[in-house]
Amino acid sequence: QSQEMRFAMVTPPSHVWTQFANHFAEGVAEATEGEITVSVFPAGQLGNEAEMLQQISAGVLEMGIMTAGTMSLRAPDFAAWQDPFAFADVSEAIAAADTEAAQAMLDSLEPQGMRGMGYIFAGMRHILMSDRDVTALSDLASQKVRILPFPAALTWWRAAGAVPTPVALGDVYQALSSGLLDGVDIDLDALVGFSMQQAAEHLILTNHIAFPGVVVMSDNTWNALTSEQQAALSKVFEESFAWGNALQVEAEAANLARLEGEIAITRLDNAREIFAPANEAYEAQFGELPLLQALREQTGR
Amino acid sequence: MKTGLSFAILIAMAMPVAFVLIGATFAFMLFESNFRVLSVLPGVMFSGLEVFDLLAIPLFILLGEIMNAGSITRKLIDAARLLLGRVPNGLAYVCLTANLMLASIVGSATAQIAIMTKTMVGEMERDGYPKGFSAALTAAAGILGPIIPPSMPFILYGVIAQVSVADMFLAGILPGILLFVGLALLITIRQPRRDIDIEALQAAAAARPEVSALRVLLEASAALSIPAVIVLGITFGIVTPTESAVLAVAIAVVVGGLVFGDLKWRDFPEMLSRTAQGSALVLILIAAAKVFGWVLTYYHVPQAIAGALQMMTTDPTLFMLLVFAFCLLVGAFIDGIAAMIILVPILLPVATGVYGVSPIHFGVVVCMTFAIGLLTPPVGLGLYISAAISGLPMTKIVRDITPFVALTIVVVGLIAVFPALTLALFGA
Amino acid sequence: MIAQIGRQVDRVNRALAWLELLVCQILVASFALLLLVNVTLRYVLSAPLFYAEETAIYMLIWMTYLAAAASIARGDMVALTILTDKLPARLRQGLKVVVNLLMAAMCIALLDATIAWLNAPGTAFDLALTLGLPKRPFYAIMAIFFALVTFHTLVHALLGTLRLVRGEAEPTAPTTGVS
Ligand code: NA
Ligand code: NA
Repeated sequence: QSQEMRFAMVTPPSHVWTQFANHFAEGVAEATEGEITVSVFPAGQLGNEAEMLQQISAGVLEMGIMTAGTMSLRAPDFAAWQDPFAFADVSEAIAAADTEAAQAMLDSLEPQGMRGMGYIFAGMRHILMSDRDVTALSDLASQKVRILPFPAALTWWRAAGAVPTPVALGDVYQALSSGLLDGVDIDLDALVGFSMQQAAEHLILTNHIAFPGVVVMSDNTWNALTSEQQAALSKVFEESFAWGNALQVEAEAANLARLEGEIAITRLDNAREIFAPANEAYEAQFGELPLLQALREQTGR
Repeated sequence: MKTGLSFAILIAMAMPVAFVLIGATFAFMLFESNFRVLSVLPGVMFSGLEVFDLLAIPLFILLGEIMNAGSITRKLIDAARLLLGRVPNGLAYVCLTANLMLASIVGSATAQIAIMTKTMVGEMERDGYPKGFSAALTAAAGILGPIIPPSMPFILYGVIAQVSVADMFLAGILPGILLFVGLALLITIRQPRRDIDIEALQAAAAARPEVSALRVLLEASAALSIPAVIVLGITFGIVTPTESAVLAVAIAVVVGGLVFGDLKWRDFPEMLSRTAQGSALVLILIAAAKVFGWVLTYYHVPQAIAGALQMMTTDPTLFMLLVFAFCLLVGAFIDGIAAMIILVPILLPVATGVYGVSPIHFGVVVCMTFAIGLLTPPVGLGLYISAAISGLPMTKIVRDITPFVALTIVVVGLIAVFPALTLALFGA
Repeated sequence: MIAQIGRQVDRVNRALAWLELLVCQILVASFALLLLVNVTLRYVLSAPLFYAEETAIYMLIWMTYLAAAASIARGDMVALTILTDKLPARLRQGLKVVVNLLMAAMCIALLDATIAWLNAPGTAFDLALTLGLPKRPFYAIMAIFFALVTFHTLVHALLGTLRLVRGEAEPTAPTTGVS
């Protein structure tokens, strides 16, 4: 009699997060010799992130991948991942996931009946603009930019002078080509996935924030496992995180190589200085978070 | 299986369809004896409607209400009459063309059939057309409503399938024109025998007040600015479908109220009420279907069905024809919107994942097939409306509409086989 | 005595449906206006209201559930009556009472689940992101809906039973088409 665990995420089947989940599922089947099977539900089949969290609390769903933004609504310290310009690239962000501060964030979910199992990364966030380059904040003044409206991103983008504009991810291409949007805060996976380079002229590589997904498991599910099963799962998790995050590093490089020649690319090396007022606004609102300070120390900043 | 049986029993008991879906979900939980699932259902029902595109549904219904109250429909028929009134069998083409124009404003077949049967059938009868032919033609042409953009079924499909509603609208244009041409050819071939009473015709013409051609065209162009905003706005991506609906409502209020002067403030409370109730009938179905779909997904039912289908064929074209035939059969018995909401989440992953069918192409075929379902007995809402408004018995309408339904089946069959017919316009 | 209670209950049922539709009228007019203002602001001033879409969606959801409750109160929800139409009148009336009782039972179970959901600690964290407001007050419509439908269906069951007992005919309800 095998036990089924359902593992849900909002990303499409081709996304690194979904591939990670499939890899994990295979690993678990092998490690437990079929005692535990993991079935993967991609593309929000079981609901959006808020619903997934509710289902995990209700004991209906065993596991899910949540964006750090969503988790920051549950445990404010997760907003530390939206610390602007904290990581130069996705490899640095992945390394930061091994710090004690990052682990402490996962532990802070315990009172809510959830276990944070680790981080799987999406690509770094950059800026795609339909008809202008960005070399100063004045280039973003009153520009309609699609963002993910989590508190930290809202604070940062408003202070940068842009007009955050809600548009569904699937409609971004058309919104860019029609002028409904002037720009997008985006990772390269989604950019390439939706061919947005054909609807815009300038890609500004800012690496302004990292974009980790938090793998969450229901506490009840975990506690119901035997200690051998727990050990087996932990091992498979460890291997799968390494596998998936390495895949993301490759994907970042491959996406960038593909975009060279398809769109004008600006490497904004002094982005931190250019966005100084926005960074200050983030600092004013989130600077006091204890784990933000710890994360900065432990990553040598 | 047991769930399917409970579903059938509840449907047969005439429980409202939305609650049949919830009831089937309860039955499923009972058979799986997992009642923890119950605790997540309210959340699923709420977020099932948390989709911006769904706002287009009440807005397009409101638009239809305002168009009627502001006699904008009437002006469109006058214009079609001016342009086509003199060719042989002119009024039949007028009916078809007015349907095409109205289709570019109205999003649903039942609304369109109701409006056009009320305004066209009597007029055609006066011109000597057999009443059965007139009612059948009007009902058949009514399914242009949900195919030419804007379209409620396309909005729903876009939401369920997570594809762009604007793309769905564009994909509907060629099939809509194809159906229009097919129906025009059918009128030409059939040449309805008219029993013309010259005296009555002359009396009717004399009774009609003289209106200048210029005025008719001017008024029609004011009315046609509404579809222009919708089609151009969406085609060039200047507005989202929802925003185009808002703008169209604003224009219709101006045109119907200020230009034609037929729209009155006191009409609004009743129009808003009908809009809320009309859209809630559809939206509550979406929410309930989301709940049912969630439970089916949770228990891997779509995968099981996909497996069974794969055993039958590996060819995408054959698969599309299978889907077409299956939906035609289902559409004969179940309301198309409800059927679409139940079946699309199950069939679409198979279509795209296993057979590589474009979700847009799949959506157009499924939506068109369920539109035909409005005209097929035993359960055909379009037939009921046509019968109720024209005063003809159902059996008569069913007989007279058969050639038209046969034609629409051929057209949709062609579209199912040739994806280019849906995808050509936007090069997807 | 019982007849009088029946009439009173019927009156409350109608009044409630009227109130539900009144709120719906306000909601439809409001989200249409809000979206019109938003489109205008975006094109004229290039400054859309960030929270307009999210607000409009919540208005739509409230409208949907209130109008659906009103439709149930007025007995004009879409149902397939093709089979029941062929039954003898008394049997059809009885079946209608059963259907209403079944719906009431489901709604009571769902009302209970909704209250548990609204009171769950996790729900307090859900945020309407562009509005920056807690989402719980918006979620409350689900509890309102299930409570209203429970009431409306129980009223129908009661009135239907009274008619059955006294051998009265079903009043003809206005039917509305879907889509
Ligand atoms: Na239409
Ligand atoms: Na039918």
